[in-house]
Parts: sequence; C-alpha cells; structure tokens
Amino acid sequence: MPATFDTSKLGQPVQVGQISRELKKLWESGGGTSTRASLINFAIYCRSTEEMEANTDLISEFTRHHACRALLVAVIRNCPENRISAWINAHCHLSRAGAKQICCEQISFLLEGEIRGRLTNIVFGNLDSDLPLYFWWQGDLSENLNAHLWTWIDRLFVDSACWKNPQAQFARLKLSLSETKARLTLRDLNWTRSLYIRQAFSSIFDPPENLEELSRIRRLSIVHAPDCRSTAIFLAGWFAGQLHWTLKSADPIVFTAVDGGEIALDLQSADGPALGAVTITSENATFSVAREAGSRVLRASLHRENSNDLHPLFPAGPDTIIDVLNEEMSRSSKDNIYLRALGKIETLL
Amino acid sequence: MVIFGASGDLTYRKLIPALYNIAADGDLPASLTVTGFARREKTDESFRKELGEAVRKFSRQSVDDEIWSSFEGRLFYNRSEFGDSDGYRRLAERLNQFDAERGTRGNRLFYLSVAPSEFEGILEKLAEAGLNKAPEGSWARVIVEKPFGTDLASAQELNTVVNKVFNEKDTYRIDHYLGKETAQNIMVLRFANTIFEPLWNSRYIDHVQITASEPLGVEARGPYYESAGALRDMVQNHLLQLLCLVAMEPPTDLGADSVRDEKVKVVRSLRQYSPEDVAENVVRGQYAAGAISGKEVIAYRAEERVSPTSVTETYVAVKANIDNWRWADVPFYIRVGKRLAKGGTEIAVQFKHAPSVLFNKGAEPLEPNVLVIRIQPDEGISLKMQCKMPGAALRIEPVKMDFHYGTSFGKASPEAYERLLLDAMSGDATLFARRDEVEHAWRFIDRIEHAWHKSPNPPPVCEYPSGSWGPKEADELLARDGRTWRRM
Repeated sequence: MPATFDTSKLGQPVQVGQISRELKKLWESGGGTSTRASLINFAIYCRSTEEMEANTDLISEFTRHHACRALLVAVIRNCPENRISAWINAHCHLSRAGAKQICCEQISFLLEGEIRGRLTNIVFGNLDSDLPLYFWWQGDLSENLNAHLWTWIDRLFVDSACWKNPQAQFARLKLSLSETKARLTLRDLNWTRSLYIRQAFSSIFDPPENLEELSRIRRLSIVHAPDCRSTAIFLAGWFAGQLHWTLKSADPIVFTAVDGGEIALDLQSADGPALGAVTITSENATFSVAREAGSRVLRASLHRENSNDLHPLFPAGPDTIIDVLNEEMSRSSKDNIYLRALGKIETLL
Repeated sequence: MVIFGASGDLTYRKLIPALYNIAADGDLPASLTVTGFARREKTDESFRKELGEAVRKFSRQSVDDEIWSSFEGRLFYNRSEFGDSDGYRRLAERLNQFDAERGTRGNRLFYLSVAPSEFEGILEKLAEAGLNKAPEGSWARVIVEKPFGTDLASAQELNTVVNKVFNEKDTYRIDHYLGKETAQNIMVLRFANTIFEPLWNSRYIDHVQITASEPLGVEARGPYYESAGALRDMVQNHLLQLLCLVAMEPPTDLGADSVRDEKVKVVRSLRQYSPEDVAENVVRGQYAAGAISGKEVIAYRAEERVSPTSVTETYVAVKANIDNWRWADVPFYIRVGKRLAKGGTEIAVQFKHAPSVLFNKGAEPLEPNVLVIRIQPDEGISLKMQCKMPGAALRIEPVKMDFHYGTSFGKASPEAYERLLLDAMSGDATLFARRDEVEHAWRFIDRIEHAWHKSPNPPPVCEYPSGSWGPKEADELLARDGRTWRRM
C-alpha cells in the first residue's frame, strides 16, 4: 500500500475473513436510529488508491438514490508480494421524511500483487445474497474479468470513452459475451452521455414535416470535448443505425444513405461539454442542438426552407459522471439500439 | 451428566460453554452435576481450571465470575480407561454420592463424545455397572454424537449396540443443526402462519435449494475427512434433517414421535438412485488450489495427512426427489462444500414464475419469489419479490424483505447445544434423530456411495478452484433443468 495513501475515507480497517461479523457490529452500534437498505450489489473495479478515494465519494453520492451494498476493489499489480487489505464503512442519508437515516454499506478492498482467483473470490464472498450484481469495470477490460465473474454479473457498466484502444476492447467484450453465454446487460456510460441529445433529435423529427428531411441528410457535424471523440462517433453510429446508413469511408468519414446519397461526418474538438453541438444538414433544412458548459438545457435551432425558424429547449441531461451513472440506473433492458450503433461505427473508434 | 471423552474438543468448545450459558440464563437444574470421564490424568481442580479458560474463550456471553464459581463447583473428573470396570464402579459410587449429597435423584444422562468404535465397550461397561437402569421415578438416558455409522449396515449395528443397553426412548442422537433457532423456526414458519402452507406444494413451488457452504478447508481433520467425505459428513445427517423439516407433513401434535414420524415419511419417500441415476443427479467435487478471503490456499490433495491421489469429495451436489403427493416433480437440490466462496447454511424455497402475461410477458421473465431460511450465520428469513421502481416507466426489480434474529430480538439466540442439552435433560426427544430416520437416511446415501465406490463406471470427482462456488458440473446439474444455484 502506498505510504501516502490516506485510508480514513474508506472507514474502518477489517480482516477480510471477518467482514460479515464487523458489518453486523457496525449496524448494531447504530442503536436503531438507522436502517440498512440494499437493493443491489454495486461493485466497482479500479486500479489505484487515488481512484479508491474518488470512488468512495462517488459511492456516497450514488447511495443517495440507489440503496446498495457497494464493493470497491482496487487492484495494484506491480507489488513485490501478494497482499489484501479491507475496510468497511456506511453511507447514511436522511430519508425523505427526514425521520430516519437510510444507510448503505461499502466494503473496500485493495488487492496487491498477483490477482489470479483472488478478485473473483472476494466478490463472490461478499455479495448481499439474492440481489443482482451491477459491476462497473473502470478503465480497460482485463483478464481479471474472468468467465466466473461474467456469469454472475447482471449489469456490466463500462465507459468506452476511457479505453485506450476501443476496437480491441470491444472485440474482447464480444468474445467474452459469446464464450460465457452471459446473460448480463451491457451498459456503456459513453453511450449514455449522448442520451439527451438523441432524445432531443427524436423529438425534433416527431412532426411529419421534419420527418421527411431525415432521408435527405447530407452532413452531420458534431463538436465534442477533446476526450470525447468516441462519444461523438457513437452518436453518429446512432444516426447510422436508425437511418440504415452504411459506412463508405473512414477518412474522411462518409456514410451512404438508403437512397444512395452520401452523408459526411464532420468532427470538431473543442473545450466544453462532452457533446457541445450537433448539426444535421439536409437538402432543405438544418437542425442543430447545442449545449453550453454548465447549462441545464439543450438549445435547438430548426431551420427549414419556407418555414419559420424554431428554437425549442430540451433538458440537457447528465453531465457529471454520477449523473451519467444515475441515468443509466434508471434503465433496465438490454440496449439493442446501442449494439446496432456500435456495429455501424466500430471500425472508426 | 457424564461426558465420555471429556478431554476432547467438543467438551471444551461446545458442551461446557453451553451448560455455563444455561446456568447463566438461570435454566440449569439446581442439582445438576457434570462428571468428565476420560483417559487423561486430571484432577477435579485441573479439569475445572481448563474448562474455565475454555468457557471464557468459547461462551456466547461473557463470563460472570460469580456464576462461574458457582457453576464450576458442579464439575468433576473421573479418570479411567473406557474398558476398565473399576473406572465405572468408581463412577457409580460417585454418582450415588451426588444423589445423596446434591439431590440428583438417580437421574443419569450419559453423553458419548467419543469415536463410534468406543460405543460398544462403554455401553457394556455402563450396563455392567448397572448405570443404564434408573431407579423407579428416575431416568437414565444416553446422548450419542454423530457419525451414526458410516453406512446402513454399521448404523444398524451401532443402533443395536446402543439399544441393547438403552431403550430407544432413552436414546438421543444429537444433530446440532436441529438445535439451531432457525431450524426450529421452520416448523413455526410453516405451521403457525396461514400464508405459507397453502403454497407449500408442487403447485406453487418450483424447487428447493439447501446449501451448506464453508470457506474453510479440512484443516487438521484430514484423516477423518478422508474416511468420511462431504456426503457422509454433512448430507446424511444435517442436510437431510433440514430437508425433512421443509418437506414433512404437519404432525398431529408436537410430541417427539409425532414430529419424527412425519420426518421418517419424508426420508422414506426419497427416490432411491441406481448407479446411472447417481451419475445423472449427483456431482462430487474436490477443491483445487485457489483463493479464500483474497489469500491463496492449497488444494485438498496437498493438505496435511491427505492422500495426494485422494478421490474423497469435499463438495457434493444432489438433486433429490421426494416421491409423494405434495412434492411430485419438485426437485430438492442439496449442495455442501468446503473452500467455497462464502460460509452459510440456508434453505431457499423458490416459487414458480408468475404466468407469462402482463408484467411477465417480455423476453426475459421476471425473477421468481424466493423464501430463504438462513440457518447460520445471521439466522433469519428473507423473501424476495418483485416491485415497481418509482418513476413514470414501468420498471420492475427484485426487492428483499429481510428478518434477522440478531437485530429483531434483543436477546441473542442460544447455541444449538444449549437447547439440545436442556431437551435431553427434560426428556424431549423432538430435536433428536430416531433410529429409523437415521437408517432410512443411510439407505439413500448408501446407493450414492455404492455408485461412487463400487460400480464399474464411477462418475468422476470434479475439481473446483478454492474460493469459487463449486465445480461447473454442479452448475450444469441445474442448468439441465433450466435453473441456477442461487447467489448467497
């Protein structure tokens, strides 16, 4: 464990074999003023002690809305010996009625050295029984996410925006899913970032007079934050998937529409929100949706020939990572639209 | 009370701490004396001193010096070889002396905490000394610890030996699982509530899972485990007893024989397996190296005093069928194992899926209701059900209603041995196994053992990594039926 690592945020250090007993003591010490709540097991995998601290803050926020048992596992491989350290703490928030504290427990592990079956064992050994396992695998996938774990995860969160080599990571993901016949639901936080923009465009094309422009789109321009190119690509994949475009060339990026027309994708990097502005241009119209940094709304601009310009507002949706996660938690089923979008742009990532 | 094998682990870890706790709770009969009978050289004083240290270590409640000093005055030690008639004569004299001085009134409770091979010799000597017969108005009983034999033949022989000296009504075969609060609560849950019993049958229950898992390996018990294995060590007794409590019909009353009659009917209804059935319905496994609590651990075959080529099972999964009206086509999946990811003994009653209409109409069926009875640790009951998540969308997620003995009642549950010792003293055999129960259980187990060890094509011993949930073949056992083991 790094000498500079301040473990105070992680709570009380415990022996790994004594976690259940220590948790029991923790709850009994509350004297009935708090209620333990748990609907899911929420596990996070990360790779540094700094990330452990940041994730503890995140879990504290997360538990305001989602009662869970949180398992935080940090893995540091380059260590001379295999060690494991564990801590427990509780995140308590006043209930809406304000009368009682609702508390969720967090169990944190720092695994140092060779991992092998150790990660699987500590996850299996510390789940809240009979509740689903939601697993947020932060950063690149690795062999630590083994077949045993795959089969136990109900919902796997990844953030493909953080992957160094998204193509290789998606290939690994698909292989694991097919090999283990896992029934898990895959949720990509990178995809969630574009949710409200996608919803805004869906609303824009609800009126029949706008709908007919969809088949005539010739340009798609996206302004994205410097580290969110893949978010923009995914958004393009969504249009391609929904409108049955096929990728014609990767450089420059050009899609072919069903009618044979070509759609150019124009990506621009600029400081600001993950997706700062999206504009689609058809033969007779321009539709754009933009978000300013810090704003809670999306400003749309609809321009059609021989028609008055319109400037509706839409909710901007999640911004911070906890917002994105909360948004994801409100969805349940497998996302076939995401998989369709991925199929369209995988080679561009 | 006389404990044979009083210098053994059970006396120090369980029996004396249990008796102390009964005393601390004010429930110990005022005249009770405890005499240890064993080969090791000890005096009453040294015996008391050792037990004092043990009670401080193993008692569920902290030791009160005043209570202990009163309690230890009831502890005595009788050193003797088990085959030495003089030792029994001295014991008889001492017990008679207690009757006169301490008011034990000729009541005798003999606890055989020794290897079964010692039973016959001890019982013969007890009979020779006339200790198996109580004077008019008193009683003489014997408590027998498991294993009750190693197969049907040896169990029958053992029972014959015991019943030659003590009547069956005075024989108490102890299975500490039955003394656990939640095990006793199974009957209360089923028969003191009206909501469960109407659903407790093949019409509403899809299957039942009984799990006893532990992260520990064989530790220092290698030689014993090599001769026993998980099936005989756990399934024949503890898990089949739990199965009986879950599956039995309501007894006519709570009398010991009424309850045990119903349990016997369940074991008699267990489908008897041919070697081919065993291959299909039973999985045996043995732990390989792996990790427990994040630390690497060795394989079973590398354990001390275990054969490096051992085929002893440290894991068993059985799909059992009870061929009676209530449980037709409802499998009871039993699994037990060492070096598994988590420790616990639980019974999970999984109800059938809701009909595939309305909320259950989607591609993925909603999860079924599951009633879980936790026997240990953290005794309690939970019920999983479906619930609509708040919000405009119709999103259904499972939630769990949970009852914990520890937090719901201010008083800690007594240890299993406390209840069982008190019952034996008061002559209530309800929570003890009867001869026919034990023998029928062996009939079921023997067929599996036969298929493993005496059939021409025995099924393989499947390896599983320590720290996992057992071999993949056990998962496949349920997967074939479209089911999965529940997550503990």
